[in-house]
Amino acid sequence: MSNGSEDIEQSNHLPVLVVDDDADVRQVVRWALEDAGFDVLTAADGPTAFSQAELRRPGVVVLDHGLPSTDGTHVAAGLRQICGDHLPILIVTADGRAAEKARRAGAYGFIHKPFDDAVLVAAVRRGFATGEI
Amino acid sequence: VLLTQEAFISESAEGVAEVLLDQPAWSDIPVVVLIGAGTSPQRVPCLRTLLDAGANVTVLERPVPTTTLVSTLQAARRARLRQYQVRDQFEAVARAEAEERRALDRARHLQELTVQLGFNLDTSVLFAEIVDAVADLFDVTVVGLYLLERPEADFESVAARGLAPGQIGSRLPRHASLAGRAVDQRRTLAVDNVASGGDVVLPRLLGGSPVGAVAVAPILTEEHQLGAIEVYSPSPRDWALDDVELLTAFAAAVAVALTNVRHLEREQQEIEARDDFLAAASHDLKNPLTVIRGSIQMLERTLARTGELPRERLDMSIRTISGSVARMTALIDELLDVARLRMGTALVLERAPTDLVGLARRLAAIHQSASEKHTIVVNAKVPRLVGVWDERRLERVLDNLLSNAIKYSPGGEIRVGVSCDAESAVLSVQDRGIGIPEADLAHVFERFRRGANVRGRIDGTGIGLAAAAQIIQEHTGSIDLDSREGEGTLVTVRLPLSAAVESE
Repeated sequence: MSNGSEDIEQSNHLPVLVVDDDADVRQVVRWALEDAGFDVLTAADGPTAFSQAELRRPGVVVLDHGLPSTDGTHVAAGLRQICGDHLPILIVTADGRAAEKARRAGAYGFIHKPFDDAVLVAAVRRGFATGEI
Repeated sequence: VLLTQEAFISESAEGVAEVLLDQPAWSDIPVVVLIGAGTSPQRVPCLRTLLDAGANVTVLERPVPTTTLVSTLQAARRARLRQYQVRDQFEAVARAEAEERRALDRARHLQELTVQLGFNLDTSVLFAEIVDAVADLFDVTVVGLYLLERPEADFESVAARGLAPGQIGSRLPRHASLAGRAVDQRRTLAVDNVASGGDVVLPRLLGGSPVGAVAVAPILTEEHQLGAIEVYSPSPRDWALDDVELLTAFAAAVAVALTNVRHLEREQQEIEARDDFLAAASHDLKNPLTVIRGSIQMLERTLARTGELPRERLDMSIRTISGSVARMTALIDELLDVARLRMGTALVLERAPTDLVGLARRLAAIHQSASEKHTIVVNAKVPRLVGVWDERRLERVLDNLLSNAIKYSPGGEIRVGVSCDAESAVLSVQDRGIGIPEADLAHVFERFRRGANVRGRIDGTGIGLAAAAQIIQEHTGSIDLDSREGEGTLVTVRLPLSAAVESE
């Protein structure tokens, strides 16, 4: 969604891949990121995320750690195999062990659900900055 | 008694002395020597050697009257016999002392091992230690530890030493085995010679050789039959009374250690399951919150940027917010039911005419939309099946059953059946998933219980079936679960139709 966007600096860049099993959560994350000018891809599970990443390399991955059937850590590892070790991953979690989960997944950061849209957008921008270094 | 004369002693002098002195306890052997009249014993060289060495020598001067000779020899013989008796008595006392020492050593050893078992907190290590301890106590090379998951199930071999490969994990018949008899009779049984022992089933020993002798002690507590310890000997063996007593005592120690470890494991499982439950509950509650917050922020952003709210965005956010509120409400209701279940309080059912067929079709459609890998088939024998039930709670039951069927099967068909007989409505959900291990079947309706094949692998709170069972019980219905590991699970719910029935 690019209509009326003030911030289009990221639009020529790589997309953000949002991996979350909850369709409604994917929707609100998409709204927040698209309104901030990001290009957004979504996936409900690990296998879909892998095929998305193979088609188009994401600049940042926003990964829900509590995915059913596949552990978020494994999804992170799988995405790195496809996109390289430097792929910036932002972990989104609902429980209290976010820092530990983020470390295990080799993420550059984490945010808690329910998150503020400004916090999400800032964290994703930070991810793009990390990826450029 | 050695009877000789000086001439003979002179001829092979050193020979006789040497032979005599070579004997153990030579000084005890009475020697009667006949010498010529007036001969000094000290002048017969060998006799002197013997006398000097302190041998038990009686010297008689010839001519010796027969009566003297006979009485001397008889006295010597009596003395010799007394010596034997004393020696036998002494040996008997020494044997008894050694026996006592051994018994004491074993008792001390048993005590040490009992204490050691008590320190053990891990079952697999405990099993190995039990087997090693028995081998040590009885100085045998072959030991088997068999446990009963349920009183009438076969024994499962959980640890062994010296048994043929493949025997661990194998099963021993509950009744056609010596272990089974020991458990039934609540006493230790010992067979000295298996060849003549009859019809018991015994394992193969390492190298394929048959069992020669066996002793088995049941592992029992007051209420529970836990299993048995078998000690084998490759050849026949006379089991002593204290062997039997020791094995019995050791089995009692094992029963205590095993019960403690199981309690502990059970508690740890509950704690882990509670952690999982909290994590899952917070995840499930925070997702709809994220959606509500995200939707509101989207509206605020749009309004701030354009000064108005486009119809499309407004509709979308209203839909997602109200959907999330409904999800949270259902979740909180479920959590409250779970809390009631934990506190042991009864649910208050909100009964109203409810169509089970409609409910089944509605939930099947919801779950179908969430999974592409599964095909959910509803097979209703009647077009409508109405009873006076709590619709929301029955929804939760079917929701749980369908979630489980999807979660625990890789894909394929899931069958939902709705039918009725004279008294009950019957609802069933069948999958072809990974199933539930036999040992876990007895516990499926306990809260926080999850199968050994899914613990730590598939997300789940372990609360669903417990809550479902409670809801069905409040309806005075029944819920049964039939499952085979690797083949799938069938859950059958029966609800009484007694009040206000109309099925067409």
